[in-house]
Amino acid sequence: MSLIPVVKRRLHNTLWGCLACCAFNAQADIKAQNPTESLLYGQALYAFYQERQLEALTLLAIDKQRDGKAAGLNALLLETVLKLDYDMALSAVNLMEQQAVNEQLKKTDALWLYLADIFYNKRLYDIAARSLARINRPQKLADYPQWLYLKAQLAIKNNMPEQAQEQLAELQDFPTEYAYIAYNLAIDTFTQKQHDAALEYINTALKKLHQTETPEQRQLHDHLLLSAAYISLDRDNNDAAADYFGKLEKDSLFLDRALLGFARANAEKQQYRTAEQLWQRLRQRSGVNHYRLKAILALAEWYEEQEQYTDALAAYQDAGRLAMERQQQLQALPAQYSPATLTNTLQRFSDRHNLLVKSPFLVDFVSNNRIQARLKKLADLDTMQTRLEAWQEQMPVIEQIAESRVAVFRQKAAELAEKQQQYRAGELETAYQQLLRQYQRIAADKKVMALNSAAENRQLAMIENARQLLPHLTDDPFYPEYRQSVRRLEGVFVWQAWERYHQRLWQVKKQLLGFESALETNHKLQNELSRLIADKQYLAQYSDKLQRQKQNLNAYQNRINTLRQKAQQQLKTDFDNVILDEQQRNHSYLKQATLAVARVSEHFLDEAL
Amino acid sequence: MKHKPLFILAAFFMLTTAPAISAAETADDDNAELAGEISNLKEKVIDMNRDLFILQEELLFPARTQVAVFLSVDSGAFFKLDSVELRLDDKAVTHYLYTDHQREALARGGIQRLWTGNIKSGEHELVAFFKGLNQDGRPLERAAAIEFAKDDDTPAMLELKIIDADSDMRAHFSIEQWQD
Repeated sequence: MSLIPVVKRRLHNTLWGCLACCAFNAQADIKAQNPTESLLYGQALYAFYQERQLEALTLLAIDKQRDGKAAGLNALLLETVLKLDYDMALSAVNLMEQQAVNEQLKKTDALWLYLADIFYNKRLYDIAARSLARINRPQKLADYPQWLYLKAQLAIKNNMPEQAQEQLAELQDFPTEYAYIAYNLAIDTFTQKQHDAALEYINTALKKLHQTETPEQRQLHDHLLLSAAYISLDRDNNDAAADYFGKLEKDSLFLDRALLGFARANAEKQQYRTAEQLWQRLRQRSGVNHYRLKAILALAEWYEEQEQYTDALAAYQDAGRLAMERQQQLQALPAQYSPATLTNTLQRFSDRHNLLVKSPFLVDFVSNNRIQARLKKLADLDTMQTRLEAWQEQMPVIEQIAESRVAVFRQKAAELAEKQQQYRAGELETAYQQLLRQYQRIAADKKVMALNSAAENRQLAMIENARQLLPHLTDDPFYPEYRQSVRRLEGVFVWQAWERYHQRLWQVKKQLLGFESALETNHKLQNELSRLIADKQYLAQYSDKLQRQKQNLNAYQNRINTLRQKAQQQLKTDFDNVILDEQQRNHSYLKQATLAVARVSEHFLDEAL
Repeated sequence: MKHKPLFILAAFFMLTTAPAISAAETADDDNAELAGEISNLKEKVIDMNRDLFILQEELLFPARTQVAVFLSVDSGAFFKLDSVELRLDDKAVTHYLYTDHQREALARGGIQRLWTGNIKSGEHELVAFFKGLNQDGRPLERAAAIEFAKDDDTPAMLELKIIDADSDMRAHFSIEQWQD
């Protein structure tokens, strides 16, 4: 007989618990941030809460590819949780290790505890220990027993029972965790043949669980009783074993096993009447399992020893009939399922239920952790396959869109180029620059005369000539009057020039504004053209990109098919092995029953002769 | 925790037969190898999925014309969302019915990408009609509207918000435009 440690497993609902205790409140987070930073993160959360891990991880990957606005502690936690949930444990570990220096992350004890738990259950003990080492002592009291529990389990794994005992002492107020660790320490000491110490651990655990409240505690309680009974049997203490067996409740999952063990203990104590009652109880129970067959055979043997040959023959025949019936079922079973049909059967609840109704011994196979992990992998492969098939279907449409958009851009670009030519961009720019310089000069120096028309400039030249002639005039009686007249004309001209100045300067500015608007239109066209050309070049790359993605799609689909076949074959091998084991076990009962029937029949024959 | 007993039972069975241990260990090694291969493939498929999503969006909904409408719910205690109808420039563009699962995902902080389409630059109007039940289980219909401008450079991102207000114990409905 060998016993193994049991593991307290946290199930999926702990994920939500973890998210809550890690202050992983998305709404609060979204409000706290600029909303634009949370869009893809929010969408990833939406997919995550609907268990669409592939989509959620893709959304986070899109965010990283674009600008990483959703990058932050919560996005990191979400990605880590998603990867753990999606069986990408090592990738999740890398992610966390990279972020280990993050100050905020250092404070999230609950997160590290959660990760330690996941890694422990995935048998990544070193990483679990590293995660656990980041916690000095959980800030939340609710996390305390789980922290101690994991520390103790890791200590037992690392052959450090003293450390586990220290954790056990601290777990006094937490019966479930206490019982798990006490049980595992009992197994540890039992393997070193220290029966008393092992039983002491179990008895203490049983005391802690004396008021079992939850189904988990109840099963643990029964498990402890059964293990204590086996340990007692191993040290030949049948009374104690019988005592432990007798404490099991009538509806316990372990009852068949216990009845058989209890009967054996009584038989060894030569209390055959009690043993007979127990064997008969098992004989009357429905369904066929090896406990029942073993019990009927033991009963028959006992009848034979007691020379109750009629009863013995009936019991042997009973056992033989049941074993034969079962053998036929077991032999037919593997052929009924190909790897693919077996996978489908196990994945669909109703089919699985039907299989289990017909073959109850497969309950353990189906609920086995390894089988569940395989089914999860197959389900993940199916999800990926569905997604890739959807892309495969969409690909021709995407290609068509890309082609038509390239064609549209080509046409648009040609039209724009033609329009742009009409504006003769170069000449416009030169004229504008000249005018601008002139305007700036006139406005800065207030060069009033610079804005004169050609006629006004001619008038000004005449006045200037007249003014230059004045000093050369003789003493003509008209001279003073003439000089006055020139001065007056000059004054009027300057006055009129100033009068016109602001209006004319505004006219120049208006012309400049006209130029600016034309230039702006031209720039817009230029920009649009450049963008279109860039788009066209970018779109032209789509053909290559799409081609590459099509190749990837085909390659990944082939890979998925290969992996799926591999996983299905593994599942089928496990299934066949379980049936083979059951067949071998059943065959030995059948052989035993058949030989016994022959032996007892021979006895009747001898008697008759 | 309800599956734990099965596990304990399975573990007990597994280890009460010695040959099964070595067989299980061998199978675990195979499983680990396969798990590694599947995990690698998952990384690649996620990358490809990302590239194809981006590519598809760029082709179908270029930033210049893209309008995307999102929906978020803050707690959802005062309003149980049944459906949303969207009308853009007085034309119905989508109608969505919610399952319990989706409602829960929204209440937990998820944001749903409700609709994505293409529009010209300029002024537009979006109206959302919400149908559901109030906290007393009575049917409730509400609408929210927004006038928004679509420019040439960035996609128009609009968020329909259903927010529970403690002040009046009612759900409030609004639409906001997200700015870059």
